[in-house]
Amino acid sequence: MEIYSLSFFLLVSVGLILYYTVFSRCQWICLLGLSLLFFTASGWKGLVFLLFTALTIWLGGLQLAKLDADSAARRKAPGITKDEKKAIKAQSVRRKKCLVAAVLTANFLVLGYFKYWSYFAELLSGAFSATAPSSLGLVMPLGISFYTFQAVGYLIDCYRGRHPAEKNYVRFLLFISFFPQLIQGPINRYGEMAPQLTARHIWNWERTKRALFLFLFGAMKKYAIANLTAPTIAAILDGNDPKLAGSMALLAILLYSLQQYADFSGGIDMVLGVAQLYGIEMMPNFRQPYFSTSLGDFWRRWHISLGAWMRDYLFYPFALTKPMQRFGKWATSHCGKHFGRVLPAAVANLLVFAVVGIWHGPQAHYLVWGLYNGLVIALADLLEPAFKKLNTALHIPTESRGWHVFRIVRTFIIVNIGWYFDRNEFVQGCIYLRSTFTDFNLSALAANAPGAFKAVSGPAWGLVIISTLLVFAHSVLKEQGRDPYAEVQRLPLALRWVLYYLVIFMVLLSFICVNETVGFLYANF
Amino acid sequence: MKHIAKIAAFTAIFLIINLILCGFMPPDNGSSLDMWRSYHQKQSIDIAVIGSSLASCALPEEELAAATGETVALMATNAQSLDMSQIALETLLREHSPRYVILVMDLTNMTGKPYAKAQKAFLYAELQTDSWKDKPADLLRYMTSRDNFTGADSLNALFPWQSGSWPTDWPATIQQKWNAVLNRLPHRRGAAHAQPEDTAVINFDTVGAVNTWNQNAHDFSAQHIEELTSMLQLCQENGTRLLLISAPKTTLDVVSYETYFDDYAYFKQLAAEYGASYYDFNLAKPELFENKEPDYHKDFTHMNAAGGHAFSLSMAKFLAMLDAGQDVESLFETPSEYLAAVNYITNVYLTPEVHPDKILLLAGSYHGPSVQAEYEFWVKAPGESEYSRVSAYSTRSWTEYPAAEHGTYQFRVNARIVGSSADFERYYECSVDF
Repeated sequence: MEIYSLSFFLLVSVGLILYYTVFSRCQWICLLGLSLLFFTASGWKGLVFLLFTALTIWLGGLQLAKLDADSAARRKAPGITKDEKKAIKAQSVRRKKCLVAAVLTANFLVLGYFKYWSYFAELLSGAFSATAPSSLGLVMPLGISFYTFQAVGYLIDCYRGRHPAEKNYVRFLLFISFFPQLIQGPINRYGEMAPQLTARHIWNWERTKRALFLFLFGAMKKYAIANLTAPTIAAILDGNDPKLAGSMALLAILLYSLQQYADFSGGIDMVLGVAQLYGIEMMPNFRQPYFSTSLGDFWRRWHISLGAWMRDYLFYPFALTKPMQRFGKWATSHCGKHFGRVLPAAVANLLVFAVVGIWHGPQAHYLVWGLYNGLVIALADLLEPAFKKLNTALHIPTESRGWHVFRIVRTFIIVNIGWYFDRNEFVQGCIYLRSTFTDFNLSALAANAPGAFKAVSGPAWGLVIISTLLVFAHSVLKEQGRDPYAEVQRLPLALRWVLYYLVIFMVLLSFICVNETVGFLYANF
Repeated sequence: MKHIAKIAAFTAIFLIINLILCGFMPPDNGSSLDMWRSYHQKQSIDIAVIGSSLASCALPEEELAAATGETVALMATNAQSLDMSQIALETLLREHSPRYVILVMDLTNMTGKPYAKAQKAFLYAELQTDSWKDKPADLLRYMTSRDNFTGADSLNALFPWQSGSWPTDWPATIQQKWNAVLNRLPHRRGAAHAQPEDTAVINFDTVGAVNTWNQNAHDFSAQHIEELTSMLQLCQENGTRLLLISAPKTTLDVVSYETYFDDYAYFKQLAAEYGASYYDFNLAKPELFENKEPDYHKDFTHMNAAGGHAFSLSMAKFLAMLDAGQDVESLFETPSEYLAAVNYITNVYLTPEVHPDKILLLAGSYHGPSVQAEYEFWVKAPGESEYSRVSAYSTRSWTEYPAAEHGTYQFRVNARIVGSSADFERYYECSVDF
């Protein structure tokens, strides 16, 4: 079910009416019904896997709580010695770890099966292709990556004692299956979502306007930018031309950086807007990433929920393991305090970004892209003292606006080098990147770009330019700590409405510029 | 109240802007609009012909109506895909009870990729020409159909101006729309199917390697098979007699299509599964239809006006025989009989390949399986006025020409059946820049 469809419109609007009227005292049940309806619209077979994840994780949480309670009760038993208490606690920790490991393994196996089995079955010359999901009539469950990560985060938080286990399976199922987050995230946290999902929400006109504003802005990004740039990018890159001029490759990658951001953040804005209509504030997933001043900063602004998840559930647990702590001590004693602190983090970063790469897909170029990001961040951390010394030696005014702009541009370039491997197969990415530096050929741009731009028709590029300017203005306002919605509300009514109609009709006009619409890049993850 | 008034005003302005856009887009010149206008003018329909340009060329509406003496609706437009034909068929069976539905097969429709904008334009043309009382129901049916309900088309159906292209000449577009409005006034309404006379005749010595097989993908897509099956099912459920036919085309387009008779067998079997019949009029015996080449064809796959007239007469005779319950199967050859009769070369083609020091000439020809062709190559070098022979007749279909100087070379290949004494039976010429 696409977000821009009659079915979704009816689901949300009828759902809203029921939510604030018939189900006003048990709104979470209404949300659950809507979520399951939305989920099964993409195929009822996937429901089995969603229920499996919800059940195993929920039971895992309850069992963790039971183990904690048992351990606490046994340690309070009369006459128990200190050593016995320690042993009981250690045993409880071991059991909890085994339980978490078992539940996580089961769920990641399901995720891995859907994401990777077909790819590796093909590599093995179809030896296992009979067991591939498609051979068994199975379609990847909607949002399996996102709800699995979300559920895993809940279980690990239960293990850490961050919050008590949810006792009501149905309420927990709502947390996993809440429909706006299913398409492409964000990956929400139980502690922040659960109270909202079960609280009673009163309809609020101001909140509704904000939600619709956000939804419309997201739709503009998705349809008037992402959908209109995708055909030109494909026209340039998908021919896998080894002789493609560097200037054309660069043009395509720059457009891809725009398309990626518009598609993903546009979709996120739309689902955040939908959730807001129901009074639910999901976590933001983007914070003007192209204003980042370093690659590390970029990953704190791009796909924020995934980055935070990786930080909390992979980076820190890995970096704080005994072997990594021993490694840190060794590095301190052999390389100094700075390296002792940064080297373990660098290794952890490489691991995290390798996982991020693989999460995008099993193909080699995703791993390369992930490792590239990890390596750049690791090197930046390792060489930070050297860069500081260099800046001082060169008398660079690091507090100046010019330096700030330089860092933004530098980061943008670094990110775009990574996009070469995100968008293209590994060998093709290498060829395009090499030709960007060794065979730029500006005249090829003048000769070939007009043809590539014709992959879309009508006023497409006018729409892209206007929409991009609006997105830029929106980003600048947010970067300055201002609220774009509030700024728009300050405009005279007529001007406000002109802006709204402009955005609405840019979205509608976008459909005449392309032969067919494409789904979200991060759907089917 | 203030909010409700604002919402109402906002919505009203939104609708007005949409109406204004409907006035400019799409341009009112689509063949879909003509087809649907003509369709909606008919009170009752006896025979419907559905398909692409193959249908409209082979069975022009006025010709078939005159030949049969019945009311005929031609629901065919250029490049009409199977799902558009499905829309046409569903509308037809909902509103009429035709005696026959003739679905003209186009192999491109079984293999090609759907063109979403053409489909939308087709549907909007139907909605545009619908009567006002039928528009809401038809619109709702489209928006909630299985294919559209969960996609963007379900909402975009509310914006008909999206179905066309962005006008490049605004004054001309506005003039066109105004003329169309005037033409829709009752006293101005004339024949909607004003088909231009088409007297072009194919020249087999210039057509080269252009044919359906070379221009399209070959595997039937699952989607198109489903669309065809749905149409067969619909007619079966409605008790409507469906004739699945292949219209006459040039022999070259039949023999060059490598899987033609496998596809023929497939269509025969599929039609039979749903109580329909498949007739390939390329296999029709002369007593049913004599496919005169090149006289009846304007290109390798389309009939011209003369062909359409002749085939319409033949179809009228065929339908009369069906009505009388006569055996019609005996009026068609088997594939092997057909191929045995193709004891000639339909055409020859030449594909030059430029190499640094020579030009490689690759020839080929289309003919029946019992024929063996031989080839003779000629060249007219730059500056020369006469052809000179490169290689004499042999069954080898290629030769090399060692080009000495840069310039434009003219090449010609002659083809004849081995053992023939003719100088040539077919030829093809082309030029190459070296």
